[in-house]
Amino acid sequence: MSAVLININDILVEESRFSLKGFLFESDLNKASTEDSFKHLGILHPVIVCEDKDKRFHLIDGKKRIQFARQSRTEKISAIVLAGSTPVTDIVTLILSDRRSEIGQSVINKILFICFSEAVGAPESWILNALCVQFGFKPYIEFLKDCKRINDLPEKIKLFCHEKKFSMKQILNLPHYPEDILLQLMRWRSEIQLTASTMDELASNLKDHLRAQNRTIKDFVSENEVQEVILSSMSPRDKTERLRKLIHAKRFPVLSEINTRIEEKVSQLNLPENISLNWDRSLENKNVDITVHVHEPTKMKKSLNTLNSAEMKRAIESILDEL
Amino acid sequence: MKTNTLNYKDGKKEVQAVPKKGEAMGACATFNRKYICCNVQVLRSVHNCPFECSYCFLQNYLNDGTTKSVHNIDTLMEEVKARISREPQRLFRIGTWELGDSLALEDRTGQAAKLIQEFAGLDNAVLELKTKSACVDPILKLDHKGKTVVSWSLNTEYIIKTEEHRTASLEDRLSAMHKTALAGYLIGLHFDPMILYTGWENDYEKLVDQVFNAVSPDRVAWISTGSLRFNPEMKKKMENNYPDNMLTCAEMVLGDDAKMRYVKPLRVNMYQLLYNALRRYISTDNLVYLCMERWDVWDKVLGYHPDSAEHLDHIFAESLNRRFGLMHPIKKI
Repeated sequence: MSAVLININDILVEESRFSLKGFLFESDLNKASTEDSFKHLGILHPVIVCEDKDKRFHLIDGKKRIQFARQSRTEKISAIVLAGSTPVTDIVTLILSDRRSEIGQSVINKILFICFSEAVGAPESWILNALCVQFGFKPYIEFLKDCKRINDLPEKIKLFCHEKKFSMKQILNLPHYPEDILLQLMRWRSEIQLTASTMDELASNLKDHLRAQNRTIKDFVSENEVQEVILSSMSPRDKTERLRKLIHAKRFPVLSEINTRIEEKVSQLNLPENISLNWDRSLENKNVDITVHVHEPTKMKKSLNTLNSAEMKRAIESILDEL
Repeated sequence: MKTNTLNYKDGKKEVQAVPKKGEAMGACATFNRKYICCNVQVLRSVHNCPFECSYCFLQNYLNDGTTKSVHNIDTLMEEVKARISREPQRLFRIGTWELGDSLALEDRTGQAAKLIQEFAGLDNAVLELKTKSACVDPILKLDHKGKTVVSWSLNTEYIIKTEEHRTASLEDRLSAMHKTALAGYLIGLHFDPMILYTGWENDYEKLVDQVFNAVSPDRVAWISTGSLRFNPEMKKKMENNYPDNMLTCAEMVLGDDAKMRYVKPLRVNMYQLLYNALRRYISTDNLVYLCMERWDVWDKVLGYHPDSAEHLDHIFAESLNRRFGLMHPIKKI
């Protein structure tokens, strides 16, 4: 297919039906190197456009070339013009092969590309069998609905997913959390260490706690305990830990109360460093593990005396009663 | 050949009569050695259910939601007979409720009636029909020979109204239970899943009163209780399908059987309250058991625990034999 010269002003760029705007988080690094190349070598390759029935050219590939040409006040640009009858799946495949490295940078980019394909009218069956399989996603119809829900998330959440390289499982959870909770967590981003897994845990526990108590995220944020953590001079890491514990205690009040009681019992034992007591903190297993670390045989006797003490036996009985 | 599959909700609208495929009888799917299971056997004769309980695992389980009922009972019974003949000294309890309700479709399928008549002739098996319906009229006049236990899954009026959509009301279930007991059937009571909500204590105590107003404890073959539990992946399904339900935000943990359940102290509290309410009516003769619970929960609630699923199975057989002469005398082979 040979290239022809067309007026740049006749090309729809942002308004192109094949624009990836909102469907792809691009890498700034690539952008800089491409600009460098244009400056030194000029535009070497033709852009690709698709002509619609109103004779408008929808840009498929070459956004940066168009931008450079406009900056250089060039009026015409070399372009390969695809007929309006070109199957949309062929165009999507073309875009994918051109932008594969960027699309593959994060799970959210792949999901957004699936949404883009749907938006330009690619058939669901093709998206499932060609795209999902290629991206390593399970090809089932419900997944396309999940993709749509993910695409409906606020832009800053999607960008966060891209930057923090959220896994598929972590992204799939996000639409199930109320938006106001997610946005609040984003607001705390400068105060706490928000990773993908922390965000998932905090959002999940907050959602269930607030539903159970019939309260809002605003109510929660205005609580004194929460304000104390967020406004404290602790490091972001310590703040995150405190906030996690606070929310966990509110989400699991019975577990927290019993585990705290057991911790106090263990602490009162003043065990030597080489002996530790562990239990199932979900309280499901009625079982206490006693671990003794022995480095020198001479210290065996002392450890055994501690284990055999009446105080230890009482404590174990008491912990087992709690479990 | 391409087959049309329906989703879970759409599939509830019609019933297809289908032939038996593969093995239909087996252990209850919830079986797990970390919890004490009652060792009941299940006969997969129905697939999906016309009811819509918000906590039902079927919404996350069925690939094809089409409601199906196995029509060739003879083939089904051949498998049952072959299986129970391999252990002639064991009393099998066999339920048809694993993937649906045993009686909800009876007026359309007549399946339970055929099974009741077949089980009447078996020496070492008892059929359990478990339901949330009031569809008992088609089975009342059958010659069941005491080999069928008709069980009800019971819950408080509040839970029936808010979570067990399209099921029979408590009043209708109890009225059906009364008629069924009068028809000479043994009755099974399943207070399961017990669910926490504001006011649950009074409501479950009242439920026990209402139940024993409808049926005499002497006609009750067994009583079970269990608490709400579901696979973790069900959480999203339940929240999507029933956005107003509050079940998923309760204080729950993941058990060793990979199911979410209330934290143990809450479960013990619930069971103790229910058991104390039951004890106002039942005698020590009545068999009460916990469905899929830990041995230490049994100890705290019932004061003992069976050693294994097989032991609990034996306790059932012994109780049914002693109280109702159900276990056949050990035959000389």
